[in-house]
Amino acid sequence: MTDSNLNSSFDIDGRQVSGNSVSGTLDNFLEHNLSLLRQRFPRAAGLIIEALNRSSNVEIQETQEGPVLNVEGQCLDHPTKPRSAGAIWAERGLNDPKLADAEVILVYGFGAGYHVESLLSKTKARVVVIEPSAHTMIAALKTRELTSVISTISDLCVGESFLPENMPDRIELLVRPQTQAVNPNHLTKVKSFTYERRGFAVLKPKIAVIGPIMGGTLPIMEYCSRGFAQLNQLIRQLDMSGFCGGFNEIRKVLRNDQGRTVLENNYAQMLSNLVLESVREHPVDIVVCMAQAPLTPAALQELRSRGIITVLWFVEDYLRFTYWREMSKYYDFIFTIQKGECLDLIRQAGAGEVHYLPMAADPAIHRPLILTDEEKARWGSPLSFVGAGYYNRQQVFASFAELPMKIWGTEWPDCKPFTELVQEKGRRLTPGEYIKIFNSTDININLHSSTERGDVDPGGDFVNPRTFELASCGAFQLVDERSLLPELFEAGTEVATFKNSKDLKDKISYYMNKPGERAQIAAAGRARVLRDHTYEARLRQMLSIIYGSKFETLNNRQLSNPWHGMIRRSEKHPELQARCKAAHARGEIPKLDGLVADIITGQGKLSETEQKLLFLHHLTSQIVMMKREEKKA
Amino acid sequence: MKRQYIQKNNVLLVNITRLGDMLQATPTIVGMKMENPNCRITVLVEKQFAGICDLLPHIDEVVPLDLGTVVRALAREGEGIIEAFEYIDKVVSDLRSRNFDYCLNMSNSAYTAMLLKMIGIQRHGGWTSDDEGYRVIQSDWAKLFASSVFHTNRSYNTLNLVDIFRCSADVEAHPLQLQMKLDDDSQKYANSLLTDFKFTNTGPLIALQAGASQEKRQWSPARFAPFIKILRDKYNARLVMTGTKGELPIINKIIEQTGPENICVAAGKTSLVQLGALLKECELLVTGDTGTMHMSVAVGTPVVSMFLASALGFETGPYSEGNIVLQPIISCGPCNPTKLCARPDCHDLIDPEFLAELTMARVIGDFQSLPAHIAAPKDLVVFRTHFDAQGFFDMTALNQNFEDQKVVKFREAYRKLWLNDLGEYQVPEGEVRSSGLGMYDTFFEGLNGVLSVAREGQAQISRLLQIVSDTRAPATALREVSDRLANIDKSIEALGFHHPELGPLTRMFIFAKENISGSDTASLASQMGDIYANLARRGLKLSNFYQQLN
Repeated sequence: MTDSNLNSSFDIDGRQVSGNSVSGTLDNFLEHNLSLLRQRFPRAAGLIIEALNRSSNVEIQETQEGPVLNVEGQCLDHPTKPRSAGAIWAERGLNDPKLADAEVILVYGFGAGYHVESLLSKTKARVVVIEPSAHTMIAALKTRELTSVISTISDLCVGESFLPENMPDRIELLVRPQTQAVNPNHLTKVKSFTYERRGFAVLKPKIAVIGPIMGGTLPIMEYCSRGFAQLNQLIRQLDMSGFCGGFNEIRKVLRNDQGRTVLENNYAQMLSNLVLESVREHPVDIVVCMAQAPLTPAALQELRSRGIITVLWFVEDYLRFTYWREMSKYYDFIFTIQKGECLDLIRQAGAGEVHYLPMAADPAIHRPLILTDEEKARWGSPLSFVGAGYYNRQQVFASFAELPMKIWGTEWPDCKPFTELVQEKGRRLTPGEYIKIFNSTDININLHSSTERGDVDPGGDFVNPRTFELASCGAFQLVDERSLLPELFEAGTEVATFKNSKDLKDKISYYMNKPGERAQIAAAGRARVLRDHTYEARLRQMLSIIYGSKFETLNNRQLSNPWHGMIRRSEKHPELQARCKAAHARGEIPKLDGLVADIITGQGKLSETEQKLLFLHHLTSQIVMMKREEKKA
Repeated sequence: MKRQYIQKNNVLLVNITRLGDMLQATPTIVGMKMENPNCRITVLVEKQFAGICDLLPHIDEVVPLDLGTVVRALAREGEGIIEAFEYIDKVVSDLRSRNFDYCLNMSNSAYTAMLLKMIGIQRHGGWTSDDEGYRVIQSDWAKLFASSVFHTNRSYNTLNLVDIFRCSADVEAHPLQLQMKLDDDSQKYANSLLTDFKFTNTGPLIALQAGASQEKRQWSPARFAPFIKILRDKYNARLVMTGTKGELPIINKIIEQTGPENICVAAGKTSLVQLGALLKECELLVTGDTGTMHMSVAVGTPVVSMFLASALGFETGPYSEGNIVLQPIISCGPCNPTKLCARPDCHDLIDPEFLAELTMARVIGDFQSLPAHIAAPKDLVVFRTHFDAQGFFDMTALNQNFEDQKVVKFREAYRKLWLNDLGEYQVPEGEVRSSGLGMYDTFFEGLNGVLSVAREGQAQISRLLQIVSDTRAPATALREVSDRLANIDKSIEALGFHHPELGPLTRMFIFAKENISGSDTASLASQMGDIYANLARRGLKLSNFYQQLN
């Protein structure tokens, strides 16, 4: 029989309103259980009651050990021995080491509830149940008397949009495979919910941030490193910009395109090998590559074969820079600054997971400044633009000669009016310099680049870093309209926008004489960045996604980390164990060097443990030295 | 002799590695027993060398330290580190429970220094660590050891490490020879090895040690071969090639050139004690500066030894009377032991024919001057080993040579200085005069500089003590004195570099300064004052001893 055949009519509070039930016992169970639910978990009860009068796809079958539930051919309990199998499942689950320190056990899937019943009888941890289907829950409430279960569980979440609140960090998930089979997508969401929280509490992966050798993404690597550090992550920055000179030299020496490309590839290969060696020397768990990071497919493959999670923050326009087509399949995660088709195409190109992650600002760098009069004279102006001379920018600013404007940046044409507008011979500016410009300009124009359009790109979607940086500086900006801008900033309140060059000129005229309004918008923009758009916030989101999806991988990797064995093994020596824990937390390599790092650089009287460790350190150094000498001899 | 700690009842001797080092410790061990027969001597030794200790007399107990296991555990990393820690934890508590009242550690390695700190022995004669883990040297003799082996100072040292080691432990009475125990079985084995070989020659039985710790210190096979041929073919000698199995390749190279006749290759066929017994059977050993050389001396067989490359006869020469030490005179020698040598020219300064003649002369008997028929080259010093009146090892040159006489005089002056100043031995001092005697010598220029800054140092220390005791003294005054003292110390170090003959003096000052201990400012200042005073006193003495030789 299907559960819908069992339906009676219930009022909004779940009480039976007609007496045409097939089985009074079943309805009695439901009323009784619902009554308890209303008292303990009113939200879950409400959702169940809402679903009561909708048709159900859950079937109930009797077994010797009691009734079981079926959904479209999938039995949610053991088909013949639900009670004994539930007990075995609970026993096995509790024996899993991952549950050892769990404060809350999140059970995914209720079925008829035998396994929950058994679990509750065996654990002192709080048990929270998530049942993605209200109809399954209704069927369970109807078929069994669940007083002890409902009274003992800590929370019950029913439906796909309902997740428990106020959960502690030490939360662990136990999944009923039967429920997973019926609701695979929802489980992904639940996993993410569970493990992002637990990930931040439990995981301490080492994260390497690898930057490009040159270009606009370079400072973003610095911001990311700082953002990860603010999140207390163990971070290692691999700054490749020092190799820029060598790369440029190849271009200087070779004019032949073909030969140059070969050598540039070799150079990139060498840098990839450098990264691999560096990661071998100081192992990491996650590699976060900035766009244009010089990592070859082979290097990325090698990293993944070592169990390292590869991540790309693709902070570029996917339509203009298309290397993602070849590279996507080597990344476990790609974060983009565009949505829609971009996400789909990159996913199709083989990336493990693709997520939208817009740009941000670093309030430690992008901040309001008090400038001297000299600085204001040099960097300031009523109107300015900072950026490279892309086609649309040249077209728009060509008619700005009459305005009190300064243009800063490279690649501007050597002709009027740019010869007058472009400052300091169009040299490349440092972040420190352009922040001074933002802070000393009345109206900062922020026009996203386009190589195809002569004006504002009507199809422009992503929001450039400049938008966030200007806002973070508390600088007033006029930014061209972008389809993704409204969800990031409120136009007219947090930033001022323009549709095209004519609109830009109109807005300049309007805002030029409205310092109070400019200040108000700039302040609101800065407040919004501080609230929502810092690198710290973005990276928290990035890690939440990674932890949600790869918690078990990272946790297993962490558990196999030698520090854990060392911590366990040193329990007879409390000071040594504390040192192991501290060195692990500092992100030291699980070697003697890591354990003595702070002793060697420290000062003051050594404890006995420190003396013993130093003995071992000195002994190792001596052996290394002797071996070197033997080799020489 | 001036002593730091007279009574020692329960001594720990740290001698972690190397056969030669252990044999060189025997006069100290025997001397301790001679002075206090009830003194218990325990030797801490690396496990693989523990067996050697059975060959040394008067050791009551050997504590083997299994560094191999520790190193292997450390190499495993992870939990291996904890295992290594636990092993050391056990070793430390074991050693601590033995309540040693004195320790002599003449290894300057950081790990033995740290180990001794952990054991917590209060009285030391050599290296240990302070509370913060810095290495400290506990006796002036051990500081002299550290100063003397400092590369540029080696040329000015005539004190053998055996004696410095012994004096560091306050041992005066001692045997004038290294010591080693042999047993009958080994003796029988050695005899049968020789008998079984069936020499056809009937001349002297001479042992040859071709291998050495470093390639640059082993005379090349191309030179060994003609030398051997002369001994065998001209003098009918019976030859025994000693060494380890690992040294067979170099021996084989020699045999390829000489042929195997009358050359018994014992390398790799003897244990250490059997090697000792074999050497005892021989009339002489020809060798480089090797552990085999020390063993030969210990069993009473004289040696002719070639001190090549970084080896220096005065430092580690054969510690008994009547041995021959050959020291090439070459501008780069003795060279840095840790550096490779692409062209060991010092090897060429020993001529195979000359060596053969010298060897045969020594086989016949000890001599105080070179036999007339032996023409020694002048770019090689032929030394004979002996002991001075105080029982210190010394060497006298038997040939006229090109040695820099100024260096020779400073060597002698320093010998007198250290015996007098550290050991309080009576040595003829001559009239003590102020420095700067009017005779031109860059040494006096440098010495005047040293004496002047040493006095300035003493004056600044007096000022410092006043400032420390004066609660009203401005904080800047302390900074000013401290800066001044730092500059003085830099000047002293610089003078030692610019005037190499002052190097041992200034290096002793530096080591003494590095070994100041405590945290009380007045006490630290007082110790520093003594160090400046020592420098000034020693400088004057050195000047006097040097002048007596001019």
